Amino acid sequence: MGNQYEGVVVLLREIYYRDLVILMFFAPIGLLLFKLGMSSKKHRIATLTQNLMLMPVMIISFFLFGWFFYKGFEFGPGITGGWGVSGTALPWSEFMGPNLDAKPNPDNIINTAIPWHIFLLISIIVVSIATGSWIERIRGSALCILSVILGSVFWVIAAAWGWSKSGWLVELTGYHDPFAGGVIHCLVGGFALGVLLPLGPRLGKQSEIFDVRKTIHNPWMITLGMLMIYVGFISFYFAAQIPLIKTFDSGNVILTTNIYGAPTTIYGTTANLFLSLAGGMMMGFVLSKGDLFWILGGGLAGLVSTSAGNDLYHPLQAFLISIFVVWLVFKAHHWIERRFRIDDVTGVLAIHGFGGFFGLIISGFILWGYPSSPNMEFADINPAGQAFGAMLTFWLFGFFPGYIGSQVLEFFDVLRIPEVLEIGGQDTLAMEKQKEEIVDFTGIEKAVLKEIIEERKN
Amino acid sequence: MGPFDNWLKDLADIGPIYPLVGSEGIWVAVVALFWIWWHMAQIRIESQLDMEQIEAIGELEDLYETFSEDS
Repeated sequence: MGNQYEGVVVLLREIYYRDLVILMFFAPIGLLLFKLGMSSKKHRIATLTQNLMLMPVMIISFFLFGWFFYKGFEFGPGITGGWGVSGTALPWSEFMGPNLDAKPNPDNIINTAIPWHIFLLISIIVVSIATGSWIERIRGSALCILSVILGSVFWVIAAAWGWSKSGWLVELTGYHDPFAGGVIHCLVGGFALGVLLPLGPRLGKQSEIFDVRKTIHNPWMITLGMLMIYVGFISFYFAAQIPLIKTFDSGNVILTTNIYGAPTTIYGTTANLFLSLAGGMMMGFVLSKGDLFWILGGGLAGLVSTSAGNDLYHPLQAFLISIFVVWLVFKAHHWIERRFRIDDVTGVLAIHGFGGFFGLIISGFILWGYPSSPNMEFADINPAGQAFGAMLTFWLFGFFPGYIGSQVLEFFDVLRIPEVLEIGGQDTLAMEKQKEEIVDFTGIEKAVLKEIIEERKN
Repeated sequence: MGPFDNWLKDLADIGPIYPLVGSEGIWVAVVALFWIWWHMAQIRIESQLDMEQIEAIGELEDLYETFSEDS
């Protein structure tokens, strides 16, 4: 009976994650559309091709070492333990291929039962978010290299520390971040800022003549893109809740658990997610007086803002936190862009960075004293732990790797595209070729038409 | 080539089912080299394309003239 029960749970989990992999794909597609909608026509094809190449680069680098970082850095290493079960995540391990003996480890089921490609998809989402802030002036090769640093190294280590069942950050500081408001969003915001400083703004975007502005080049594209991001976000929420067996005195029960293995409810977290979205969109509308970018971005910032506590909040608490954080995000965004002349095209620093940062700080006070994990020896949730996590993700894992990585690329002169190309457009040759092809095609059509007319005359 | 010859035994005893089990290290080395080479090739191709585009666009002054004509 026990084996059958376990078998049902394993089957359930398999179906669950197979479906979620497909649904989560909406997020990178949506992010791509969003970037294209914010990109001017003369850079659009280049933005598309550069960002498409992030996917294969992430896939190969994540297989080679990204997954190893998640498995190997959970305990530090050297802080609360050694290298964990990282041996099975090495690229030459026989458990990285089809293996009939690849059973989950019952002592650490969350970190062994979740397939690595779920984390790969999250990595693709992470880099797809960050790269939006640099478009129209960064080189495609720099985009790929920075994405590897972010998506296959630093966010994965942060996740191992604070977004895993036995992460040392959870154990020692009580860090609680079930839907990755810190380890993804806050971190991505920091990384985007770290690159934006050496990269600089688009030409003319931040000068004495022109004020900071968000130009939407295709409103339909950004709307469709953001709606897809919302779908991806919901799927991500589901992926971060795992169906597990829990043994109680009354018997075994299949439970929904958060990433730390603590019980939660799908209906509760989903209600929180929708209420956060509603609060963010409404606040974004009011603050921007109906601006499309901030209605959509406000919704996303709302979702980000409650991600550190949506397994425990009441939906109305989520709503109120969302509207407050979106207000903070909106104000902070305009202040920092004007004060430091930062040109963040898709608002990554504000929406993800500030949204995640403020969300973590607030959750520390509201959830103060809650257990951070089902392991009662771990520290409870507390404001200092959440603030420490926010600082760590934003600065150590976000800003510094981004800043150092882009400085190195700048040193080798491979960070930014040449000035002429930026003004003239990276699509110059592609557009010329397209024009030539259209002219050729029209010429052929005319010739065929002429032939038909002459035939009919005869 | 395969690590087993029938499916009718304890599946857990079979373990990995891909061919050439034990040679994974070599594939990792080859793939890692290809991956690094690809990044270098990308930089090279991109620089070449940039030069061609800059040639097609011309100097900043020419660009200014083009903008003026367009408007």
